[in-house]
Amino acid sequence: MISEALYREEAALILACQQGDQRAFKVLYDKYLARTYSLVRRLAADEGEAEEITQEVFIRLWRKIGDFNGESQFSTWLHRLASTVALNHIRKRKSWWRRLVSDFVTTDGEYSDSVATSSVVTNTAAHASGQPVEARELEDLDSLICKLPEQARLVFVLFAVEGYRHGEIAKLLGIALGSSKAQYFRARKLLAEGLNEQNN
Amino acid sequence: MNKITDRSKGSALSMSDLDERVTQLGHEGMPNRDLWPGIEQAINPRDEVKESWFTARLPRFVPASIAMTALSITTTAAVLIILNFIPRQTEQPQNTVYQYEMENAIRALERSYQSETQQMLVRYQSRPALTDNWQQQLQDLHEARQTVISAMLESPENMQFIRMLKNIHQQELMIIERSHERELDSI
Repeated sequence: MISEALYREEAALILACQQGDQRAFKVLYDKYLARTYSLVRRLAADEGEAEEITQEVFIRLWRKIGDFNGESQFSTWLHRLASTVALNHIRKRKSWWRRLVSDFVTTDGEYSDSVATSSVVTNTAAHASGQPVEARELEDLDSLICKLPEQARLVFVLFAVEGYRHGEIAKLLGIALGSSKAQYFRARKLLAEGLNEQNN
Repeated sequence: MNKITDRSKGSALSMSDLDERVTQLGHEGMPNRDLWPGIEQAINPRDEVKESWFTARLPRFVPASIAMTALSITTTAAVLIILNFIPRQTEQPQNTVYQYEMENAIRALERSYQSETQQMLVRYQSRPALTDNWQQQLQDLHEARQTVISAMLESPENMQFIRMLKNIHQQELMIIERSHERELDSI
């Protein structure tokens, strides 16, 4: 729940942006950069690509902010915009890459049904580095999420991390409701297995 | 409690443990570089003029197909020029051989592609394309081509990239051809 003062401040910022004030937009950018980047990074599973997508999100935001009418919270609206831009980017990347190298890709561009990969090994090194257990475990979990097969990762991030409903996810990804649920349970199973493997 | 595994070492993670960890995941990750300058440049109206420099200077009678093909040839020329200036590595003989062979392969493929594109340019110079999105497809392929060439230079021992580059060239030529041949058929 955002406070009244914060709401007023944000509403003023948005209004200024809608009137073309780029300084106000920079303030809005600073405020939402981390949240937006986190979402995009988990969806794209690649830091460099996430940076490009995040830039695209804010460029689109500048062009579309006039459409924001205050019916929903701004953060929710931006969140939806970021998800859409990221998913479009991922879809586009997949389509041209598939079209070009279809005879070089053997497995639908996805990883196999195991997420216990190099990231786990990398993160295992942190075990000995004296980091707090909680933080280390969360880093491991984040790395494993990025190693999930693409469809499972997108569903998991949107449902479990970002709080979307399966109906919304199905619509966003163009898949059946049942597929969204199935991918979520697949992701959960893979993550749990990956974390267990790491602990042993 | 719903245990995931019965492994003997360590304690098995339950689904509720996993769910709890997920709720604790941070949402405050930060990019490694400053993204603002790029955003600022894109949203600054003054830069829109710069972005449209190429198209703004094209004579109105030049069909988009010719413009795109010209862009394609320019890209090829740029690649060939860059290849001519790549310094030779003498410290690692094996890598140097691969590098040399790969650069030669890129040169040969790009020259052949350039020659075929020029022939098409002559053939289709007076015929506008009918399809709507072929320029976008071509643009995507240009990007893919650059990515593959970079990969070829970074991993000169990987011969699969040669096939990939050939594949891209074929697809670029096919897109230009198809988008114009339809009109030839209808004449």
